[in-house]
Order: sequence, then C-alpha cells, then structure tokens
Amino acid sequence: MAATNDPELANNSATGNITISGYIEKPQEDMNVEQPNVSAGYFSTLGMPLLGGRAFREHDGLGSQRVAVVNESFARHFFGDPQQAIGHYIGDGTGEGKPDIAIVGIVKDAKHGSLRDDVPHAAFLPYLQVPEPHAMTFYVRTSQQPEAAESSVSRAMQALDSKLVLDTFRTMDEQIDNNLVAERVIALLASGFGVLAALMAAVGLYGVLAYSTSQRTSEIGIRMALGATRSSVVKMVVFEVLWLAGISIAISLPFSLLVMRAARSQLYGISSADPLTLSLMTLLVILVALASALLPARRAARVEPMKALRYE
Amino acid sequence: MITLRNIERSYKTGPTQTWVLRRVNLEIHSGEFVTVMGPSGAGKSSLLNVLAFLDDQWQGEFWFRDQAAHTMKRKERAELAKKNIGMVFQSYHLLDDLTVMENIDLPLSYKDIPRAERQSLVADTLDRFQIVAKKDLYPSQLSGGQQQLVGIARAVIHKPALLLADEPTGNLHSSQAREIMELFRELNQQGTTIVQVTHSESNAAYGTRTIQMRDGWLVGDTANPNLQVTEPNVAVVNR
Repeated sequence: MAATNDPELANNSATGNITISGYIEKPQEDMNVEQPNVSAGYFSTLGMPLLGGRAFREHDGLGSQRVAVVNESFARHFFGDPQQAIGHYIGDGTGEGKPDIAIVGIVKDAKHGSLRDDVPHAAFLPYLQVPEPHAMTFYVRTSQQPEAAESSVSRAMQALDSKLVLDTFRTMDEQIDNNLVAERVIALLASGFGVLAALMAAVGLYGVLAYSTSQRTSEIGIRMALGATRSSVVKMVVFEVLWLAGISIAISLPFSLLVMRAARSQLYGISSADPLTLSLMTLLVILVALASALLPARRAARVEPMKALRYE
Repeated sequence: MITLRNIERSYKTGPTQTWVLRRVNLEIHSGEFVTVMGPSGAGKSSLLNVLAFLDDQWQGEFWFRDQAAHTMKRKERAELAKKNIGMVFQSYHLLDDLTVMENIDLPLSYKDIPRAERQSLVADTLDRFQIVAKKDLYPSQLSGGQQQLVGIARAVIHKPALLLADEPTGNLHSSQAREIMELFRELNQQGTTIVQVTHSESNAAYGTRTIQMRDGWLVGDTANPNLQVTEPNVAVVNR
C-alpha cells in the first residue's frame, strides 16, 4: 500500500521551484518540477522500477535527513547521466539556505498528469517529512478482485478509525479510462462523423453511378449487341468505380498525411503516418466504392440490349 | 444456315397480348442477301432481333448452322451471336466517346484476341473501308454516311457469317445510301450472308431474295412463290 498527495493520471499537479547544489541554471531555465509527497513503498506499489539508489523508508520522517527520489528525466536533464544524480542536494527554490534535500534514488519515468502529457521532471519527497500532509490518495496493490479489495480496505480503515469514510474507490484501469474520457468522446464523435461521411460518400457515389449508368443504357445495349457479356458489363462499371476510388485515394492520401501531421499533438499511441491506419482507410474507401457500385452494376448487367438500343 | 419453325413473339400490355411475330417459318441459306420488307409494325425489326439473338423471349424452333438455338441458354446464344453475327443499325449506334478506331475495335475487345492481332485487324479494316484518315476522329466529326461506314466496318471486322442490317440507309441521303448498298453487295459477293430490313424498293433490288411481312405474319417470299395466304392474316408454307 502507498499514498501520495499528487495522484497519478488524474490531471493533478503539485509543482514547485527547486535549486540544485552545484548546478548552474541556464538563463530562463524552468526549474519548476513536479514534487509529489509520497509514502514508503510508493514506487513498488505503483510498479515504478528503481534505476539506482534506494526508495523511501518508514524512517524517512521529520527530524531525519531530508531525502528525495527523482525520476529518470529529472536526472538526465540536470545531471546528464541518471546515476550521477545520487548524492546531490536540492533545495526548495526560494534561494534561502543551502539545498539540504539529498537525492537518494532514481526511478524509471512514468506518465503523471495524463497519458497525453510528456513525463515531467519529478522529485518525489517522503510525505512524512512534510509538516502537514493533506488530501492523500492511497494505492493498494492486490491480487484480489477489485470488489473484494474494496471491502477489505473499508474494513481496515474502520479498524483504524470508525469515523473514516472511503470516498472513492477505483482501479488503475478505471483511472486510466477516466483520464481518457475526453479523448474517447472525441474519438467516438470522430468515428461517428467518419461513418456518416463514409455513408454520405457511398450514397453520393451510388447516386452518381446510378445516374451515369442510366445515361449509359444505350451504350451498354450497344456493347451487349456487339458481344459484351453481362459479367463484362459488371466489370466495366466496377472498374470505373475503382478507377474513381484510385484517383480519390491518390489525391486524398498525401492530403491526409499533411492533416495528420498537423494533428500529431492530438494523437496518442499511433504515429501521424501509421501504415496500418492508412491501409485500413484505403481499404474502407475501396469497400465503400464497391458497395456503392453494386446496385448500378447489377442494373447495368440486366439491361436488355433490344430495349437499350431503342433507348435514346 | 438459318431455319425458323413456328417462331412466335408477343408482348403483354396490361390484360392484352400483342403479337409481333406469328408462326414464322423461314429458311435462309449461306450466301443469300435477304431483304425483309413490310409496313411499319409488320414485325420486320422483331424478326431481325430474333435472328440477332438480341431477343430471346420467342417461342418456336430456331436452328442456326445446324445448332438448336431454341434449346440453348442465354449465354450460349450470346456466344453464338458473338462468333457469327454482325449487326448494322439505322442510327449507327457508334459510341460517342470512342474514336473511329476504338469503335471498330469494340467487338474484338470482347473476344479472346491478343492486342497485337486486334490492332492488325483494325488496321486492315480501316484500310479496306478507306477510312484510315478518319481513325482518330470521333463519330460527331463524321457525316452520316461515314458513320454508317464505320458501323459496317465494326459489324464485319470479326468476319461474321451473317450480317444483319436494320434499315441501314434509313438516315442517309440517296447517294450515301447507294454507296452503302454497293458495299453490302460486295460483302455478300465475298461470302457474307446478309439480312436487311428496309422500306426502300431500290435497296431491296440489291438483294437476292425479298420477304414480305404484315402484322407479324410472313406473307411473301420471292424464293418461295408457293407461299399462300389462306386467310387475311394467315400464311401457309407449302413444301
């Protein structure tokens, strides 16, 4: 079990300026870093591997040497090599007094505020060294089912103090889902509009094809009178649709790459030129085009040459 | 080449049935140049559509080159037509967005012929019909007579045994019509069997045989003077 005043993936932030002994700040350098107050066992509970040094212990409290564990990007930024960070001192950024917080450990980077944000430079501090810790969020790593764990945690809390109430209980998966609600809504809306656009394109294409096929009744009749089979008429209509689809893909693909590059900041988990997404999109365009061609092609194949030759 | 026995064709219009071909019995031999004549609505074009396999809703027996077309499936009939029949239309029916050369190539494009051979056949045909200079023109850039020339070139490029022409000079003035009919006579002399539908006596004179139709009945045949009409609308073939 572990606790923090700055919960993970909750769009939360507890930042503050720091000073680092022996480190010469660059002009305009941002020395504001994430400073969560966490309990001993926090990193093991959250599954953040230790890259060097040690994690917090129960005796890292008031009166003992003030300590910090920094993340990899903090160490890399200020010290070049993560292992070089251990043993250095950081201060609270007021510039008053000598930096007196010893860096005792390095942990692997992990997303903090949201999945979309870059990993911030973070210096974790033991909450027992904070004079008045408040609003703590607790994490429990368990092999139990979430429902069972919830009642176990409730019982444990009641045993400690019967006035304590479990406010919100959620798994990390649910926390991640909550963190992605906005993205999911946008994705759902985008998918909905995408389906609508595909449907409208299909209806439009069908309309154009149905009209052009009816306009070509005479031509189809002539072709059939000259030896075209019904399957060759279907092939002709489908080939023309595929030709149209090919042209539209050739035009839209570079354009979509440009748009996707512009929207790169909005994407998470895929690159702006994801080959699978582009292939599926191309396949979808072809399928929509083929679906729209189906009825006109069937209608064209049913043209009676005798009637079509009279059709003007 | 062709034997029709009791060929009948009708259309259902509401509760009434309109007959366009009534018990047509006809034999056409290879090398003949047959002219089908008769007033409008006599069934001339309907007969031609049956002969061209464009219509397959008829009843009766139809033998084509000793093959029973009446027992064939639609696809088989289409295949038979593709191999053996060329068609010339009154309104030419050239495809407007194809050049002369492409129009002439059209029937070949539906056959399993290598591209090089097709090009050679098209070149030969353009040369034969003396329209090489027009090969890259579109139908709209040609006169009516030239368009019909292209229509005929297209109909004969695959060397059909039977050439069917539905009022081929109907839209042409007399001098152009004469040229087209001379061309038909030449094709017939080279061995192509021709069946033409016409209203023109002078066009009929190019043929070797004339058939008369009325109200769907075959009522006269210069090759069969014994054809008797026993009732006002009934023709009987005496053999």
